[in-house]
Amino acid sequence: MFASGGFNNLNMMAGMPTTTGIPTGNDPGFMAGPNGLNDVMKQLDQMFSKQMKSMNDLLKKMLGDAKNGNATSGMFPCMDLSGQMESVMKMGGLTNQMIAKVASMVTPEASLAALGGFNGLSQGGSAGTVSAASLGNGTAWGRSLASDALNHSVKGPGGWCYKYVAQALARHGVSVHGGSAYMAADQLATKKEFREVNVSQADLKKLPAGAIVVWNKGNGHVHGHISISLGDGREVSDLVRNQTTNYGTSYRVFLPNK
Amino acid sequence: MQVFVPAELPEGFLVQSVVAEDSPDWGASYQIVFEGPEGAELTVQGTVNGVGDVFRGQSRQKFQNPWLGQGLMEFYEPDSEEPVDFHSHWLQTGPETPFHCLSGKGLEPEQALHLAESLGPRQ
Repeated sequence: MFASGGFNNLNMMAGMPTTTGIPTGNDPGFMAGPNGLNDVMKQLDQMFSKQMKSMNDLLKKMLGDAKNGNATSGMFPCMDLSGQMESVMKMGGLTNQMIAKVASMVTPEASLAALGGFNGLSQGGSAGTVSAASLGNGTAWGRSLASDALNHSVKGPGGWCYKYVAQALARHGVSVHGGSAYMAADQLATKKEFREVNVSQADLKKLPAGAIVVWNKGNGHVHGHISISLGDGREVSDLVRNQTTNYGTSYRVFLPNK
Repeated sequence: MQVFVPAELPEGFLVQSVVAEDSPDWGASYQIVFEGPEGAELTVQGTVNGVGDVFRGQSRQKFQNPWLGQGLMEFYEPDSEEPVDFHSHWLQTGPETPFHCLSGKGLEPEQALHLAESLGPRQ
């Protein structure tokens, strides 16, 4: 139903700390799992595939309107067209309780991210964003990773960010592969040593040592960029730089778990 | 993996270091640094994996290489965070082939572009 994989989708929020208070469902067969809206939508999709297509089309239209600034409501961009949405849902046999639950779970950030047209990460959206204060001082393992990467960094000439980060990770038991830096993100998302969090651009300089930022390809960037935070506002890959905060593409942040 | 080098070095440039490795995990890569007069430097790099973007400079210029096709050179001002004055984007002979690039400092932009245009497989 929704696009999966890559940077601009709701799956990237799976397991991430959240401040949105996504409710857990109580209705049998209609449960909000760890993937929140995605889980519910999958179940809805199975239950009412035909009707859901109509609803999705409508949602896309509504969210498109919201993205273009035509919606007037704040938290729930569909609200202005909620009557139409409700009608479509009722066509699928959804109860009022179910409709209310879906409505309560849909935030602009989550909805647009699910549709692939919005990246809550690069926009610093409120959905699942970890504040600077809660980032903490990091872990011993993270500090070790950062220190090791710093010790192996070079003065120049650049361009090998992924190689140096991958080699630092390999020395710490984490294996990532691939030609280009952006390819690390999906791999890191599956590693038990890291958890993905949503951090605003302004807070990237406050990341603890060992946090990894992966910038996506696009906007003229063919390979993307990857770096390890040193915990002092700088990053290290093959080189040491001030933390990149405005690369022109979306980004994903991974905090060490241990 | 082919190693690319400039066809002709500027006067006074000598090989300062050569690093080549073939990691089972990470594949082959090389880096050749040439040192010139008054701190001038030239580096050729190649790798089959692990590249990131070259950061954007204050200006950039296209060039054409007979082996590697069209390239783009970024030029950095002295107050830039970049450790070099110029750096080419990664170049490839074709899809799925190793990446190569040229970078350096202490050279005129025209010299840098000429060197990039002359990159070719080491004989």
